Amino acid sequence: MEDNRLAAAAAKGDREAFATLVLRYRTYVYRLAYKIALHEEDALDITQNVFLRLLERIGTFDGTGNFRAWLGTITARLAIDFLRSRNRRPSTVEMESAPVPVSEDANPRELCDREMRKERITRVMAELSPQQRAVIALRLHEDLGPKEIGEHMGIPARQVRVQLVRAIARIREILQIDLDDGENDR
Amino acid sequence: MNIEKEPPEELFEQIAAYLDGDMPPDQRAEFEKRLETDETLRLEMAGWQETVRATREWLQSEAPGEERVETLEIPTLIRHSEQQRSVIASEAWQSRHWNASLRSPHPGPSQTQGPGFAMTERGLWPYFWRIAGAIAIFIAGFALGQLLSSFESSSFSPENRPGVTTGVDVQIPQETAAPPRDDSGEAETATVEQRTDQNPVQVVQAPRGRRFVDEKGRIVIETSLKESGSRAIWVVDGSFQLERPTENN
Repeated sequence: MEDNRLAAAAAKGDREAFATLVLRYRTYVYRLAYKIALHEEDALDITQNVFLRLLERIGTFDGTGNFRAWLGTITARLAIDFLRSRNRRPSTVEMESAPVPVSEDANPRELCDREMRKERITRVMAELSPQQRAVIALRLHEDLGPKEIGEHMGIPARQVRVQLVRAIARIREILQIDLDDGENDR
Repeated sequence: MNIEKEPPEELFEQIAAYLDGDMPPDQRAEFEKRLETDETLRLEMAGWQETVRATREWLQSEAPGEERVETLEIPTLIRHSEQQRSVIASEAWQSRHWNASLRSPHPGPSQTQGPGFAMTERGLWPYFWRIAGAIAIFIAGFALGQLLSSFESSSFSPENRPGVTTGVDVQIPQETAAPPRDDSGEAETATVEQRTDQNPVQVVQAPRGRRFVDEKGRIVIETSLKESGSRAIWVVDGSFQLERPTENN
């Protein structure tokens, strides 16, 4: 069953429909929460808060939009609130320890480069504010436009664009530096 | 390192606006014209696109600890009053374990009444522990009160504390034997043995229920014991005069 129909059923009190949505999107929500919080425990707390909020607000979903993107905006907003209430930014970035998918024809050097690049992006992300990370996530992960992001986040679209450009510029700067260093090493 | 070649932020904004489709048509046409001739701009835009692609890949990549989401449980839909709602929602908000219906949600007929808000199936447990805590505090307070009370009656009582008086004279009434009656009218006599140091056994004839002074000046009193019902004869040596207590005494 598609998301919007499940959401409509859940809004009418169908527990199974709601449970299906949770099971379908819990990993997505956790992943997005982690990319904003950069902390496992925080991401888990945010995930639980998101589904509790979803339970309260699912009746407000109009049923015509993109449910996943709507859930993404809830996640981003709650993640920012959560981190703001805790007044914490990741002082120590948890280095990702997720298993690397290895295909038979994967080039080991390419895999290594990819992992190093992920690690560098994580470090750059840790320099940014939770709001900047949330903006990037909604823009690049959910393909929401600056205006839409601004409406959900309660900030002007112009500020969304500025944050986005600065963040990507910073990431690019770090990756470019590493790329140049790598070329010099060869 | 290539920091010196870093283009200004305005250029990045232009690239971002162009790629996002946020550029006005006239500026867009001008930008595309420039792209055809400006190799540096093409390289910058390619670098930008590559950065966006890498960032998007990072966002979509697996996060550590993803398997832990399976430990989270699904909040359930139960309609309650607004008052309950605020309490339960706030508790569930702080708890990572909502209920026990994550993997096999079984909606009951009374639980499919509409969304409204969150209610947990473990919602009664906090109340149980609160009530248990209140009872424990009450019992502890009662026991402490008893302990203090007994301690005060023993250690803190004025009579056990030298130099401390309460200012109240307490007279403990003592059970006194009724004054012997002078029933001289009874004629029946009883024979009792009187034991003294000089004469271990001496038979005394005493009228029953009487008291009197014998010829040697001794007081002889006959009493009866309440518990056993037996009689006793008291013989008091010495010169005594029976005297009734006055009203002043």
